[in-house]
Amino acid sequence: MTSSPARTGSATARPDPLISLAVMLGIAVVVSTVLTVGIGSVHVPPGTALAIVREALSPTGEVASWSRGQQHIILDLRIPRALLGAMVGAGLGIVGAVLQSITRNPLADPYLFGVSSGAAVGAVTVILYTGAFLGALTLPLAAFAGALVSMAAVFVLARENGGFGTERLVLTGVAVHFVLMAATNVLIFNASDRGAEGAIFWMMGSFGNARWNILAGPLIALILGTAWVMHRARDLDALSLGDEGAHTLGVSVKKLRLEMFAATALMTGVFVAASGAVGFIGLIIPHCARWLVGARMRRTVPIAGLMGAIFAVWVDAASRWLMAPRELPLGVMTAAIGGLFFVVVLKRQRNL
Amino acid sequence: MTGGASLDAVDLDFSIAQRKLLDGVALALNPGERFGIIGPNGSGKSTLLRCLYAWHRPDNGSIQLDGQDLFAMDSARRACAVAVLAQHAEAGLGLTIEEVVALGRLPHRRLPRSARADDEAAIEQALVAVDLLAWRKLPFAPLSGGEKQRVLFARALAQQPSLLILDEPTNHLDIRHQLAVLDVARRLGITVVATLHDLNIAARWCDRLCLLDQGRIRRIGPPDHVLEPALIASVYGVDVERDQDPRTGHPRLSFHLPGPA
Repeated sequence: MTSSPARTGSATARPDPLISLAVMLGIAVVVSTVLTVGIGSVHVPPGTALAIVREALSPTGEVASWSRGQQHIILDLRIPRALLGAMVGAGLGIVGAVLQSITRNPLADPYLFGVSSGAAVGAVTVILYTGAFLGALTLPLAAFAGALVSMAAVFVLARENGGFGTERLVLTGVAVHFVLMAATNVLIFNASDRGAEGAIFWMMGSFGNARWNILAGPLIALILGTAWVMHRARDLDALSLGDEGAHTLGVSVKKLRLEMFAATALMTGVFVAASGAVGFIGLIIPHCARWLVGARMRRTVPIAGLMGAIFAVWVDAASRWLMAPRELPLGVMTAAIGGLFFVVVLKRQRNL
Repeated sequence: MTGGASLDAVDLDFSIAQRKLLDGVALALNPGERFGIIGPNGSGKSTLLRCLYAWHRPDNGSIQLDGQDLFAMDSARRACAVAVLAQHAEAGLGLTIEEVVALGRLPHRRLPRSARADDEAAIEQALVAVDLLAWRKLPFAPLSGGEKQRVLFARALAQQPSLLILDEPTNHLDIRHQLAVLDVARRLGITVVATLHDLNIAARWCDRLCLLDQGRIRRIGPPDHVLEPALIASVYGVDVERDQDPRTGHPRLSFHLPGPA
């Protein structure tokens, strides 16, 4: 069979490399999780970690070659932690991709609408003042409540003519963010010195609070949010032609905007509640995904999710290992990597 | 091709912030007609087009496309019938030329029994029509203004509309591509409405013209009738001389600022 040069350009003529790329990245997520669960203040070799998981999934009753402490660390702490990291990383990557597309701004990130500062008010209040009066879920619930309040404030204040202009929403988000950060800082300043470190650590982001019982929220947010975004992927592509352009393609722009802002704000709220505001993942991962598979959202979104998961799992492992036995705040790591990454990007690319 | 649509606009009024942009505008476009809207800056040309593609809802009056109320139509069906090339060319974040053109298939995808093969064929045809097939895989963002305009025109063609709305389609284009774009639009055989700044291009390309001035129609009819030097002179505030294009016989205007030469 001969193929003329003209035909090779056709998208249907050859298998789409997207599928194989997605499968490879999916495998990489699993492998990354397995390789990194052993890393931390208590080191567990990957082989032992795998054996612990296998024994937990289908007990053989054989005498364990590992300690109860190792088993506890792997099963109750590190695995939920890696899962939370993967889910939050994936979610932030996806939210960032959507917001960069919808605002047509390559520097948009998931915390654009002040969600992180609202969550900080809630979390800092629990850490410094009330304590965990509802058990392990107190902190994430308070943070999520704070996130909801800030979201509602931004949406109410930015509303005009029954819709949202992007610029207005972003500027309102900035304003709300500053006011809530001021409130957070007052809360920290007013508290006893001993708690402040914990509050600041939370604000820089960490997957260290991961336990099995807090994973449901992020999982549901990730699945529903991704499904929603993928359902609207083509309409989001149309929005790249501008509001009027999308309108002439039959897209109801106001409704699409409202839906996507709501979806991404809720997703971000859930992720921030579970892990604090982990920065830069939602900013840089979408760029990486677009370089690999282009800018169509049907392709960008899944790849951004997978890359975000891998990135988050490895950066979290590095944050446990670099200053062991102490943990480096995750936000410090992502900010350092993300900042350097952006300098490289700016040097190499003129066109973001 | 689907053939052209008919369009009936009656008594359109439209204001923004107490400023009346359209005042009792009425148009009736015949299927397959090429209709030009001319007028000075701020005369309401773009506003009128925005009403015709249902971006603005007029305060008064009605617009019917093939006998159906434009604003009551399902938005996907409307987008299958009406394609628009607007003035401000943009397309975001790293799409390729082909992907931008493919956006024109979006409204068809929403309808039942849309076929992928139709999409591919429409995209390829549109790229051939603007002479950009060889560039299909290149990124859109670094293109020049005129090249972007051609890509966005191809996107409108890929929609396979029965009414094509063009807002200053020749903006950014060199002379050759101005004529080429208008020639492609003519050969589609569908109804086309275009705003045009260049009155000589309007004269040779349009079946009928309407002259807008401060939101009102001053005159409507064949180019010969509308491009009357005294009328154009009063509306645009210039001195106008008229002769004939030696090759086509169309009216040809030249302009001078009033006052001593």
